[in-house]
Amino acid sequence: MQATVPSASARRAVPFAFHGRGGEYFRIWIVNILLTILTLGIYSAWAKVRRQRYFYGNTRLGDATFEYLADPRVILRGRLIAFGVFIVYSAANQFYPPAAMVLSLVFAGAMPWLVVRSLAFRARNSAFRNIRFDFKGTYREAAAAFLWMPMLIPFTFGLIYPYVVRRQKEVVIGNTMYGTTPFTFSARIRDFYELFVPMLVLLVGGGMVVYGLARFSLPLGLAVGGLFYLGLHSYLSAHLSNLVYNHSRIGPHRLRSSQRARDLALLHLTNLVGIALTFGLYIPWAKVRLARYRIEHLQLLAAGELDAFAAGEQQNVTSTGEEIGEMFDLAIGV
Amino acid sequence: MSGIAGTFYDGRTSRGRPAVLHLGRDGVVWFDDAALPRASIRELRISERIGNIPRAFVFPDGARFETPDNDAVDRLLAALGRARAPRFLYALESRARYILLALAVVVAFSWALVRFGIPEAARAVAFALPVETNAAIGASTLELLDRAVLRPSALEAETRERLAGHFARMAAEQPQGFSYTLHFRSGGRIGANALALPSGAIVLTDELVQLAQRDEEVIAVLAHEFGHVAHRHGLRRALQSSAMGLLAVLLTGDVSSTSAMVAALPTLLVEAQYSQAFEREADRYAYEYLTRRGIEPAHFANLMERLEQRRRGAGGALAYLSSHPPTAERLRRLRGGS
Repeated sequence: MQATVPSASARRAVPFAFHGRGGEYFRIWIVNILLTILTLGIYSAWAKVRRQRYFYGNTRLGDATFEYLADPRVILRGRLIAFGVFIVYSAANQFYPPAAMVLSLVFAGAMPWLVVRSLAFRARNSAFRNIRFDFKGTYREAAAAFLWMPMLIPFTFGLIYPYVVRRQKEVVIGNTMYGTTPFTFSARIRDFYELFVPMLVLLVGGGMVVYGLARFSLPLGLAVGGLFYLGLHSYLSAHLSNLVYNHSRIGPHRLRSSQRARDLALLHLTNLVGIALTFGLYIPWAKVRLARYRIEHLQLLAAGELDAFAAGEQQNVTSTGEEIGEMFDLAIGV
Repeated sequence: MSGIAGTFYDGRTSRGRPAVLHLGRDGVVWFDDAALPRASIRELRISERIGNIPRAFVFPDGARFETPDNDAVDRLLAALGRARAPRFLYALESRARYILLALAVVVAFSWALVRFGIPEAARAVAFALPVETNAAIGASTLELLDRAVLRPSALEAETRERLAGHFARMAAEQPQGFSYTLHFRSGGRIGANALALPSGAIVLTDELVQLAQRDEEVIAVLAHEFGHVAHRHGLRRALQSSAMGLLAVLLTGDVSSTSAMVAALPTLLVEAQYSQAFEREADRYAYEYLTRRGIEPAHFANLMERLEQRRRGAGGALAYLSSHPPTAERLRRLRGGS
C-alpha cells in the first residue's frame, strides 16, 4: 500500500508465539489470590510480578522470550502511596468538597507525569535478550496528548478525537526504545479518521436501532445492544491494534498485526459466557486465550538478524506513577 | 552432573550465544565456551520458577544465562540445598491438593464476603454516616424519573388529600432526620408501583392507588417504602456496589474496561440478591408497622396478589435476576405470620 516498502523478499517474517496455558495460569492465579487474601492485600505486588512474568516469559519471538523484571517491593511502595492518595481524596470528597476540587486540579496537573512515569516503569522493566526497553517521553509531550488535546474534544464535537488518539499512540510508541534503538510511528492522521469515522456512523446508526428495539422490548434491546457493543468494541480493538502495529518500526524492522474483528468478538463472547457461568473461575483461561490471540497474530518483519541491538544506559524508576495511574483507571495501552 | 544447555546474553548487545552451564565442586559456575565468564554460584541470582517459562542465572555485571530446562535448574538448586523459599510458591502451584485447597479457601472467602461481609459492612457504614448523607444519594433521581418515565398524576384532589393525611401521620412515626414527602404521579411504563428515594421522598403511582380497594392497602405499601428509607437501602446499595467493584478488581487483577464487562453478569446476579434482601427487610418493616397499628397485614398480601395477577411476573430461573423476591414467598411470610 505504501510506496516506500522495501521488497518483501528482503524481510524475514518472525512470528510471535504464546506458550501460556489456561490450566497452568489458573494455578498461579488462584495461589496469587489466596496469598493476597491471607496477607490483606500486601502480597498483591508480588502477585502482579508473578502474573506479568508468566505472560512475558511465555511470549516468544524467534528463539527468545520476554522478561518482566520489576521489583515487587517497588510496586508495593507505589500501591501504598496510591492507596494513601485515594483515601485522602475520598475523605476530602466526603467531608470538605472544596479541598477535593483542589486535589482534582492537582491530580490533573500530575496526570501527564503519571503517564510518563508509568510508561517508563513498564518499559524499563521489560527486556528481551537481556536488553531492556526504555521510554524517553517528556511531561510536556504527555500533557499535550493526554491532557490539553482531550479537553478540546467536546468543543470540536469529537471531530478532533481520531487526531488525539493518533497523537497519544505517537507519544507512547515514538518515545519507546529497545536498548539504544528507537521505535518510530508512521501512521497518518488520515488512517485514524478512516477508522473512526465509519465507527461513529455505525455507533449512531446502531444506537438508534437499539434504542428503537428497547422501546419495543427492553430485554431484546439490552441483548441486541450488548452484542452490538461487543461487536463494535472488537472491531475497533482489532483494527486499531492492526493500524498501530503495522505503522510501528523498531530500527529497520517492522511489525505486522493481523487481528480480525469477528475472531475477537467470538473470543470475547465465549470468554464472557465462560466467566459468567463459572462465577469468575474461567478468568485465567479467558486471559490466556486473549493473550494468545493477540500475540500469535503479530509478526516481526525482520530486516537482517536480531542480535545487533545495543543496550542503553539504565536509570531506576519507581513505580508510583504506574500504580497511581492504575488506581485511577488511567488506561494507557499500545 | 552434566551441564545445563541454554543461551548466554552479555547484556551489552542482543546477541545470544548457545552455551552449556556447569557447576564445579568448588561452587564455581563455568561454561563450555571458555570465552564466557566464570563466577561463584553465591554471586549469581537465579530466577524463581513460574510455570515453564525460561529460568535465568543473572551475573553480577548484568549478564544473563537463560535456559528452558527448569528441571535441571531445580536439581542443581536441590543439590546445593538452597533456595527452599522461592520454590515454595512453585510447590503450591504445582500440587493438585494445594490448588484444590486454595480454590476452596478463595471460593469460601468470596462467598462469605459477598453473602455476609459486604452487606454487614455496608449496613454498619451506612448507619455510622450522618443521616444527611442519605439525601445526597440520588438527589436528582426524582427529576430524572419525571423526565423519563413518570407523568403528572390525574387523581382527584380529594383522594390525594386523604392519602396525604395517612402519609403525614405515618411520617411522624418514622426515624428523624429524613425529609418525608409524598409525590403522586402517573406511572407510565412502570404502571402500578411505589418508590422510595433515600432522602425520604416517596412516589405513589395513580395505577397503584386505583388498584387498591381500601386505604389500608395503600398504608401497607407506604409502610414498605418507609422501611426502605429507615433501613437506608439507597446508601447501602451504593456502598455495596462499590465494594463489589473493588472485589472484581481484586479477582481479575486489573481495572480495564474488559474486566468490567466480564464481571458484569455475576455482579448483576449478586446485586439482584442484595435487592431481594432489601425487599424482605422492607416487607418485615411493613409487617411490624401494620401489626403495631392493629392493621391486618393481610391487606398488604391482598394488594400484592392483585399486582401479581396483573403482571404475571417472571418465575423460574429468571427469579434469581429479579429485583424482588417471588411473590408467593412474600405472601407466605405476610400471611403466615399473622
